[in-house]
Amino acid sequence: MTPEIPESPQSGVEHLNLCKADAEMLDQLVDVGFEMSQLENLSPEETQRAKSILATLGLIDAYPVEDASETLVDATLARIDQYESQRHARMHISTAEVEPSSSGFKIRMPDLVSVAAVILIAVSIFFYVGQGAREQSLQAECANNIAMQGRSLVNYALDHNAAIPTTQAASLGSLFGGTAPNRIDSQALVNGGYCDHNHLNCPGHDGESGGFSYQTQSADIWADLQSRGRVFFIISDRNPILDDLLAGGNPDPNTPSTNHGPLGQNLLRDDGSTPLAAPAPIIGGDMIWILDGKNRGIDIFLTQ
Amino acid sequence: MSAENEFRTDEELLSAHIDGDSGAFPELMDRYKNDLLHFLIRFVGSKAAAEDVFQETFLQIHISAETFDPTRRFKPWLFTIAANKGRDWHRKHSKRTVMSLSQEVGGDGEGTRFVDLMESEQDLPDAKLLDSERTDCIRAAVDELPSHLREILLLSYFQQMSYLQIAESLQIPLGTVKSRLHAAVASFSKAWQTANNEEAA
Repeated sequence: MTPEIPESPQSGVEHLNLCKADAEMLDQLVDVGFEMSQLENLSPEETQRAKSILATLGLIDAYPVEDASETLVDATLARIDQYESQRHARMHISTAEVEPSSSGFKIRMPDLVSVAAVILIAVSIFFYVGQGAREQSLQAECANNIAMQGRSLVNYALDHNAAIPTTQAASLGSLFGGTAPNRIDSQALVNGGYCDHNHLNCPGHDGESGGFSYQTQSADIWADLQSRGRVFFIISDRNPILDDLLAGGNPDPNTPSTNHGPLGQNLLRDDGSTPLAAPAPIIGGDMIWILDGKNRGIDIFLTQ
Repeated sequence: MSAENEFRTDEELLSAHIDGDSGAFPELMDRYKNDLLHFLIRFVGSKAAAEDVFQETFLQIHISAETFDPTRRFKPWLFTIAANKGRDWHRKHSKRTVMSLSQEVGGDGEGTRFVDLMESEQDLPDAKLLDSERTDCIRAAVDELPSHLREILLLSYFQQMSYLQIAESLQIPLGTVKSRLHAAVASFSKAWQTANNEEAA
């Protein structure tokens, strides 16, 4: 039989698979460490199949390899010694600097007041700086969460014939002409072990307890957006637009997420990058809305 | 290498290294230098790169030695770290083959009968020495595999690690290990046939 190759714009290699009988025989061979003699009661057909698999894998034995050079172990030991030397140098603290003076000293009131003033000033500065650093830390953690979801989606797709896990966002049907849109099924990524539940929550978002604090693009329009070569966002920090729409309001499309205050909001693009969208508009004056190009009078937005 | 070390298990040698026995670590490296280097050459594709990753691997073993659970076997741990280092190397040096997240949604979920080894017209390898062109074809077929498939193929076939061991080592679901090995074998088979056909043409 001639193997079939799926049509795909990407590398077809990742979508190849074995037929069921080959896959089952391969599993059996793995179980016995590829020692075919340990497989009992094989039918002639199974025996031939096992031999074919082993013969195919046996080809890899011919991949050209070389033995280690005489110096490899010594070179590795030298590298470890170098690492240890650098580590000790970093850890070395001169005790002479902390030895008390033998002459002794007296503390006077002006000295004490001066020191107290310096401490107060330092604390006030560090409090301000620390708060900013904490916000930046939360934003960075959030960006990492979004990037992790992106990698999880890739790994999920690799394992599922390029399929992305989707589920219907039932509560949004009213905004999509009565048909609930599909969105990424984030829980499926967690259930499949592709990411942790923590990755589904932005650390800067208040009010989430066990749910998701990110919004995902409607999966139904992915192909359309891609074919139009549009910049395409898949996941975003939650912003108030959708909540306002569901409440019957008429929100400003420029409304950004409040998760990270003036720092902006994190996004996942279809190329896997995770830009931080500053409050300045990105596309067409929108923060996360993307025109669908069909003049439907409503922007396509992210579902939650 | 001392005669005493030759009779120690891998795990005992690592423990001795932690306790300051200067001869234990060289013995461990000597024990695995060829096996590990062959694995890494197949994984990263060149001896020079493999030697660099080899050094990174044993440096990591040295740094993390105290975290090793002595009730477990050393060899799977060694190859797990080597695979991680090899993957890092691919990330740094290889052209990224990122799959677009906007791939068409869907898929019938059925394992398509892409490769049927029973019915394939592929010749079984004979016992003769392969000529250099054939070796090049095999090399090309292996090098064409994405690193996440190649590492599982090498760990499974050459290191005889079980699905469970690979899943625990790489911290991915058992089903993912299986599906990746199936895909790796199918992909290698296909790539080999293609390369072989091109050579014949």
